[in-house]
Amino acid sequence: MHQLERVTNLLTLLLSARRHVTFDEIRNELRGQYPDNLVAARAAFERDKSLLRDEGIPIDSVVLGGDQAGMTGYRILRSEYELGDIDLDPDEAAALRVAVSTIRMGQSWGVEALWKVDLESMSDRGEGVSPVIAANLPVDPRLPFLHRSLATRCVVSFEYNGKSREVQPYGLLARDGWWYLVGHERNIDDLRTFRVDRISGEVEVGAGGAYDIPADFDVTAVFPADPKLLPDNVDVGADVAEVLVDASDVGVVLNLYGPEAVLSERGDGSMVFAIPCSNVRAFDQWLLGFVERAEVLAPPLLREHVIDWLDSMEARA
Amino acid sequence: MTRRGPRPVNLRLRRLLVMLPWLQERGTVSTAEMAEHFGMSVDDLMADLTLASLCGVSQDPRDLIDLWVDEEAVHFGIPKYFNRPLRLTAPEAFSLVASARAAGNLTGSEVGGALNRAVAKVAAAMGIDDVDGLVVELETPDQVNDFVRAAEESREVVIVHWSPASGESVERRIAPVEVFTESDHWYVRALDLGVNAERIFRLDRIESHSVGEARERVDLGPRRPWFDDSSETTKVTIEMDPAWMWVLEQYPGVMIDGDAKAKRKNWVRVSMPVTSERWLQRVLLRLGGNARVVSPAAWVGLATDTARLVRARYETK
Repeated sequence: MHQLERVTNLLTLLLSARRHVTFDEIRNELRGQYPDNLVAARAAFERDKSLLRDEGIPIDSVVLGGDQAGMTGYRILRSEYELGDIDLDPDEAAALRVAVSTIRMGQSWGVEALWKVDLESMSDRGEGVSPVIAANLPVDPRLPFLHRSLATRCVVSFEYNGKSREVQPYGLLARDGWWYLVGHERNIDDLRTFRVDRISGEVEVGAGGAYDIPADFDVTAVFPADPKLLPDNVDVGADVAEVLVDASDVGVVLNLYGPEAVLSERGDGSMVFAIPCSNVRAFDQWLLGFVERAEVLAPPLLREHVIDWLDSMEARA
Repeated sequence: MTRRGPRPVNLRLRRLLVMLPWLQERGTVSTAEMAEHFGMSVDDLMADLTLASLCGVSQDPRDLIDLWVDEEAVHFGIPKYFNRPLRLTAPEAFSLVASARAAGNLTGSEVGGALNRAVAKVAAAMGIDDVDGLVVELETPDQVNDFVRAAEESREVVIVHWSPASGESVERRIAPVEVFTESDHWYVRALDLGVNAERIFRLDRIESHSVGEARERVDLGPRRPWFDDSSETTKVTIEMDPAWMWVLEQYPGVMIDGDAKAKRKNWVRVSMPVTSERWLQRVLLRLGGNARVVSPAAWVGLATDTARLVRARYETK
């Protein structure tokens, strides 16, 4: 018998059960579907159960009493299994379809979710028209669990930068191509931001309803949008740099910072810009993208820092 | 001829559990229509539904899932087991909420309200009373709308595009087909009418644009992965301090060669596709003395040469 047939039969049995049923009862009901050998049958049953649970099917198990004392009973409560009636209006269903086809995460989760929440309508996939606007969102297998933990207020535990962390999630933010978890780290009793792709290993999820999020918390306000504004441990004595950019490249800087960032314009068309440099590492990465077509004029410590960086490249040669 | 392997049991079960309530909602559906909706072949659909029609709590025909398949259509009879879809899994719920949040940045107010209502209904069905903690920021520059409209209406656009390689701005005539964002940048994919070839332009490097007349529709097919055309790239191998891998995170196609031993202790060997010498210069400057090119031979000295080139700017002040 094919495993799909056996596991579907097991599912119908557990969904229809009016009480918890034991492995022996299941084996008896699904006669001939599990191997005759008890050990092999038990192993196959465990595989089936694990497959169902991995698919998100809530199998309830309890240790029974009475004449079945000590045996484990299983059932699936219909109320736990079934998606409630979402009752989307046509414009709401259409908006969700547009959202799922526009935002690409390299997974089929969104389409599969749409099939469930929008039973009434046919999808647009047959029309063969791709949306002309698309956004690729990075995805990490731990994100759904962090999201659920956030929504149900579960404390999460994970390894980050070689340390064990216990965090009350306050928000998840996708910014600049990365996902960030912002939360209250319990052992230091302070807010911390974690880049999700840098979490090591699995995320352990605690019980729900474990904490409250402050009413005035705003995940977008926790750290600045421009990484060059984030403080780091290199102090160059100023938060704003004067950067001379060649005429060939001023357009891209004007696009990014606008004319208000221009401090002066020179006769050859080059311009001096005021650029945030609180985070020197982020500033370096931005500046060096211009190769020889931009130069730090001030502050002097930042200029020296750039020169040291270049000299270290020559010294390594 | 390539032969496809068997479809995994978990995926077949997942699909069945959403197909059965969908089918129940409709009664009779053409097999072609249903296969298209669920993105599978008619043969696979027939195989799975035929198998489902043999499943139930017992082999008594009255207990089996009541459906039958003929050549043209699938028919559903009396509902018994799967009246509603399985509740949303954590990945599905995350995907819907994240897609809706992200799309809200793109699609304007006309669907924003419907999206918000849809997400609120999905959250309520999941027993989640707060979805505001998940924020997706997609900054949408003003030009995006013009290029999206041009793609939708098949209009050509004249752009002035700045090339970081040459530092020059060049006028091009393009027919946009798609506007997309990835890793913090917006791009327009278009047919470059001057060279009659597909090109992708970064939007912040388009200094000006003017939308022109409608023309015949351009079909460039689906977008290919970055650097898919190896004839336009050079494979470069570098050795580097793994602590600086974060510099390369933003670039596609970077591979760590775990088997190759780097000459310097504790360094790793990394290969990456490179589109131009200028592009590699920028990467090497950002890595500083923490990396060295191993191959191709012509670029082994590029890091030092580039450091000297930039350093020369700082000599005269």
